[in-house]
Amino acid sequence: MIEFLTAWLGSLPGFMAPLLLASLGLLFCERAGVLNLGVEGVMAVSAMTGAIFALGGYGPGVAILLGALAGVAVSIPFMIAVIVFRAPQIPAGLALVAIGLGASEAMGRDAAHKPFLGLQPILWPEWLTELPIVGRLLFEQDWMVILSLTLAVLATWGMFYTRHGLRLRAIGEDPATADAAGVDVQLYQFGALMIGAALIGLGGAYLSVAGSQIWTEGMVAGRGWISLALVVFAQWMPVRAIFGAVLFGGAEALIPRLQAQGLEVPVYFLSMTPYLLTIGALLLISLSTRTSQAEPGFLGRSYTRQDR
Amino acid sequence: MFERVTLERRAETGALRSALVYVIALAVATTLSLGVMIAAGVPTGALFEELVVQVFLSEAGLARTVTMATPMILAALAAALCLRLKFWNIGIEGQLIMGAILATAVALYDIGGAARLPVMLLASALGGALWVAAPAILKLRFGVSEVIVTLLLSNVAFLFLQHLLFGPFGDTSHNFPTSPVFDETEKLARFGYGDTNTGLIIALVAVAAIALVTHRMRFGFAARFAGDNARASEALGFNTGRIMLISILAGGAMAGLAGGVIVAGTEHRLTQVVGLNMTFNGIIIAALARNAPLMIPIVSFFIAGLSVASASLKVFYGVSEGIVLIIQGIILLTLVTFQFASTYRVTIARQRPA
Amino acid sequence: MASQMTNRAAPSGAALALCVRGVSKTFGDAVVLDAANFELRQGEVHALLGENGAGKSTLMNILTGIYAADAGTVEVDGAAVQVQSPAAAQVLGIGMVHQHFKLVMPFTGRENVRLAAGATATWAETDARIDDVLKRINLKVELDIPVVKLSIAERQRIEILKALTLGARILILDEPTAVLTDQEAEMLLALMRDLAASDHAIIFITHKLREVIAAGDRVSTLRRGKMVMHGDQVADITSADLSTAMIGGQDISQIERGETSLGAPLLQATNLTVFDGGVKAVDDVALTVHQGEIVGLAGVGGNGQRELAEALLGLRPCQGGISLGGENLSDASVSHRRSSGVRYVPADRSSDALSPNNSLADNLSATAVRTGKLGRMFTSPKRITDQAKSLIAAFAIAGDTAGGRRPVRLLSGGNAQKAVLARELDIEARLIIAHSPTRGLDVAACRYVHDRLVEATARGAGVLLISEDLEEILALSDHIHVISRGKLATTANAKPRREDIGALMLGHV
Repeated sequence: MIEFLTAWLGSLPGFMAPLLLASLGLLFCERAGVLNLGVEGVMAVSAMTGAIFALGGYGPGVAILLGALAGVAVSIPFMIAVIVFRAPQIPAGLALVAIGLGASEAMGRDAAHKPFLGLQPILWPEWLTELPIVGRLLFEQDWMVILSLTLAVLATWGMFYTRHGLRLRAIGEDPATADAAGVDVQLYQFGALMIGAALIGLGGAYLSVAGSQIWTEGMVAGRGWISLALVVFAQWMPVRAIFGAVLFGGAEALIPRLQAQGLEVPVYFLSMTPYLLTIGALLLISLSTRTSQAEPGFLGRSYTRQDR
Repeated sequence: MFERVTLERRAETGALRSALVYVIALAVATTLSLGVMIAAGVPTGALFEELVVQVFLSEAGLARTVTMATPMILAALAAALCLRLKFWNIGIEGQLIMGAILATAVALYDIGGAARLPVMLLASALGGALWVAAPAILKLRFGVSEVIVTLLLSNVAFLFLQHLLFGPFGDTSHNFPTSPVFDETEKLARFGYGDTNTGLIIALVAVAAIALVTHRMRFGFAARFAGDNARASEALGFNTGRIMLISILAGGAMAGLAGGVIVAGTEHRLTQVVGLNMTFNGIIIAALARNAPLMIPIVSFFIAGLSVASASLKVFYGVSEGIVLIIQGIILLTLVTFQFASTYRVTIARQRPA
Repeated sequence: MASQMTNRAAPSGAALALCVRGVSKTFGDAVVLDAANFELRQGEVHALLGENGAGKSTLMNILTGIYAADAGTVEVDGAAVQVQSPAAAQVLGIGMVHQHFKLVMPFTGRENVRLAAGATATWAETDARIDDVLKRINLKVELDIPVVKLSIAERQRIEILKALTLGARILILDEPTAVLTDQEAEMLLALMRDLAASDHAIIFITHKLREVIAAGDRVSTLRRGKMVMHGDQVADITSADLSTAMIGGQDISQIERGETSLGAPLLQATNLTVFDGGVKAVDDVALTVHQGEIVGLAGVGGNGQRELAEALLGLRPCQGGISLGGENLSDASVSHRRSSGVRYVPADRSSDALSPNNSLADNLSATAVRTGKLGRMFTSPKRITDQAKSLIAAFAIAGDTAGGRRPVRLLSGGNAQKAVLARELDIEARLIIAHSPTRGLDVAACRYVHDRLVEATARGAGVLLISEDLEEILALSDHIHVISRGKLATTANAKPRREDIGALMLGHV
């Protein structure tokens, strides 16, 4: 039992980190009023790019960074379409998924199925990692895990305790009022989407460079869609996203552990838990009339000054 | 940011302007797509051969195209029926999968006796409708965003499919996750040209039926009003909520039927890839067809042709199948970006406003 | 109702905080402001009266930098200025509290003020300024609760705080009491006097006589773009003066309805109350419309007209009784009421009456299709087009309709309204609820609409005419009510004069 727990908890952060990063990225977009359905495609491009650079001999840190940049690059047409041309966000986001998945498949062919040495856990004295239950959880993790948690805290600070965060959130809630208060709506939206794409890219690159340390098509495996659900589950708060990522990542991490035990596990039902949990949460929230709407008021809609 | 440029929502968009914008958008999209293909390694000279001749002008190619188009027509009908009501059905794939699952269940458990095939198809439609019912009700009664819920359920459906294929529905005689092959009575009749089958008839009948209802029946009339202006529709006394629910369920049923047609007509069994990319295919076809039922078969034909071409491009020129996805994404993105020209009027001020 | 308050006479030697001279503004061919003059003295509460469309909003928009005047000058504290933008207005010390608050609902009051303070002010600075204002002025505000949880009066105070924190010394309040209860209005008036006393100058836009007297030092009145009363001392004028100034004296009346013989009571609404998000939009209204009668409901917009109309149609739930020709319709669905003969010509035709992307023919036949008159299951395009053609001819709907096949959104305003009328004023119409039926229409189209409504009554239908246009109400109505804050007031005479109505509109709480 202890061994099981240790192994499970030890693997958990690795599943949590990419979900957390992608969700944080989405949070920035959605807090600015933009629904970015393209996550799955962006993560794919970042994962592929990270793998290519890792295979090319660049260090894992550099590979992850470049992967994130690739994520930003592929998101730019989406940003321009949605912010400048007021294109409807849902089909634009779906288009980004297609472009991202297609590009990662096409450009990643040469790098596919080639394992490499990716991001390694931070080295601690051996005896620490052998502590029961928490040993591997605390002392066998890579720095991206720590970074993702730090970024969540930073995001909270940035969004709720700074002037720019206030202005950003105002745009997502009520762009007309923000505009009247002198906020440059388009500028902030670009900024939010850039940061968002970068974070999503970090999450995607983590999947290949730190996670499986290989690139295969379809390796994002729906984690982009899960992140969309996670943001709703977390009710648009970065710290709750940590909780959600731990929950969803934990469920994901459970599967290989249970299989290693040789248990007959309804693997697929387990994988459904994040989705079902989110639907359940949505239902509860909509049924409870007391909770005031946490969703950014103008999410998904295009703002033009004349509509004021 | 762009202070000098003011955007004003147009009060009305003439038909001519709309049409022009659409055509230009298509032209740009086509150019970009061809560019992508060339960049991916398709020799310019081969473009026409691969995209037109092989796909539409050869018997085998045509057969493949028609076969691929058949479920796409139904998926696009699903998208269009929902989109007309401003209901974003991102879960078409999931509804399709559930339809395929129910049809397969009927086949595997030998339900229905002599009416096996009709029961399979009915079950598939039912599966799709049921799978869209929850998001529909959540949206109509509680205002919960359908985008997230249809998406989530789509993923759940896929996982359920996996579970069934690796479990109770799996064909134990080999190692691949597919169901056993259906019996003869469970297959849709073939025409003798490649894999083309009576599923095509079903799809076209569905198109005709929906076009008929939309333009010639009271229900369709009400649905058109409800989708265009729900408030006016309420004020006129139409039971808007019920109309919208029925339309969305019908959309789900179309998606489910697409699943039924794939398993009973093309594949003759249930596989993991039964719903692959079908949400996206449905949405892009509906967008290109501007939600008009009668345009859908034509557009489906071309999108299917693109998919068929990509298979051959892969074989002959080593072009990845991802290129098709990129192209579809570019087409959709271009189309919605150009909508800007129909919706807004741009004025560049000579000085700062006011 | 006009309380005997002693008005502080603003010291006549007080400096001018604001001086507007000869300001004009034209939009297209409409002259919205015509050489208007206005003076605001330091330390005074200056009431600005005027009907809707008189030009008040435009003048305020010029003062707050949203529009540029076509002619005239503006002086602040004696120096000529160009108010080029809202930011510039802020720097000049001009602040405005609009009728529709500019607040981000999920944010707290404090966050809203911080947002408005801009990117350059730190939160500490803004908080300090807030404290400063609160020390000087007695403003009861809840700063750290999300605005969405505050009452409207509390939100309004946040808006005032916001303006003051941003340095406003000239404060413009646009119809601030329209959304307040009597008690809250009292508090606000007291606050205004407070502010004036502490070195601010207030422009108080209103159409309520009682408030002018209670809180104003001087009053000016705008009518049709011209300033017809210039800063007269409130103490020196009567309510009759005000009423006349606002809506004009004995104008030449237009089509006067002759004496009509009324039929049996058609619509009888009793104890009608409609809630709109917790607030009573319509308050215990009793209304009767007879066959062949046009009942006019006058009143400034936003006083419950829309809610009343929608409740009568069945679009909104309401308390109380509604019966039509004896048939109880209180719980009937919209389609039931329509089948009984209720018709609706809404104020916002494009969003509430027509389906813009469907063809004109379809729009015209919507009611008939719904009732199954043009086919039980199937609709016959031929019958739809035929009916459309005859309606288009009968109502002279012009524009490129291509026999009714083109979408309705391509029609001009006047023709679109004709289309609505063509559909709603059918043979079986018994009660027609017409809300601002001539809004945005040219003279000829207005005349046309009026003729059609009168024609309908000749057939025995009854019309409830809800309008902000007094001319229209006076010309058409057999009986006139005034609605204000959801309550009805009725004139003593069946055929009242303008001043009577105006007095009701002004004097009603």
